[in-house]
Amino acid sequence: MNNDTALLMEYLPFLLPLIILQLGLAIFSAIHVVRHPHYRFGNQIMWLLIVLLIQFIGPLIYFVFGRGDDNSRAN
Amino acid sequence: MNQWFGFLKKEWFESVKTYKLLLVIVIFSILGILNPFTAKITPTLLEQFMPEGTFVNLPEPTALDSWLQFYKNVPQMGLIVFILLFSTMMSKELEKGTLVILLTKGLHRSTVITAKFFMALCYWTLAITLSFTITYAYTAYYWDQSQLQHLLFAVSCLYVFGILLLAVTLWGNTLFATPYGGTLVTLLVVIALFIAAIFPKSANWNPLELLTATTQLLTGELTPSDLWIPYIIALFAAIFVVLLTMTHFKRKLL
Repeated sequence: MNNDTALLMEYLPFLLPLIILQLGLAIFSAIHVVRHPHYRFGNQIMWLLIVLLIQFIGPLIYFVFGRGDDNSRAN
Repeated sequence: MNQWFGFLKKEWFESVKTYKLLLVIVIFSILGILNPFTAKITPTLLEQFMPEGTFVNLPEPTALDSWLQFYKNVPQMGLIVFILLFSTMMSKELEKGTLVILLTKGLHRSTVITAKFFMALCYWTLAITLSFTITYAYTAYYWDQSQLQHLLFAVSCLYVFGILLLAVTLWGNTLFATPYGGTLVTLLVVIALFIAAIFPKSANWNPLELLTATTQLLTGELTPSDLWIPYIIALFAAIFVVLLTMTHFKRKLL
């Protein structure tokens, strides 16, 4: 057990920023998905799953291809 | 010139509002941290998952391992991310028809192309600088990098190849005016370069060599003088493709 904590501490300088960035991006995108319920295609649940489960490619796909315009003709 | 900067400013605000800046900064920081992390943790991971009693003699990771990860992750993941991010830069405006208003007011069509390309170029510079600096900082902290050769030249090879792909994406995107057109054309170009790379002689000129030769550059097996032909070809091809895009766009009906 002691060994594991030492290992964790050793990699903390890597893990901490990685976790913050990945989680931050996922949460930010998830909030965006919920608050802007117009998508070019697909539905809310699909985009939520994509954004939360696929690491950093998911949010990218959502913002580039899935995000609808705020003032677009709703379809 | 005033017009050009005005349009550039509009492009900048648009890219911030469509979250491109955020995505580039976050994703390329992640990529930058991942490289030294993967290099450092791989031996430990293997040790942990080996069955009890097996003896494996794993060499200690070195600075070279960290940079090998960099030249594996950034050209693959980084370039894919970047091309996807900028694959809609023309088609979005062509689809919505927002450019028509500006063009009828007297905006030059060449301004549109050059400003858009310049903006994407700025983002690519930011992305490469960010992940390079982060990887460099971590690697310098954990390992001794003194035996590595041509570190900056190697990353500039990657940079130039990225510029070429960016130009191709812009061209495909303008030509087909669909979000997928640009990505598809870029994919085809990369496949064509890979096919050309099957023939050993093509290594003299193939811009793909800029990506594959980086490892040998770092270990010192190759020197920058071996790579100047692909380097120049990639740069000129990028300029040529941008000019081609401009002539295409001038003749395009909106």
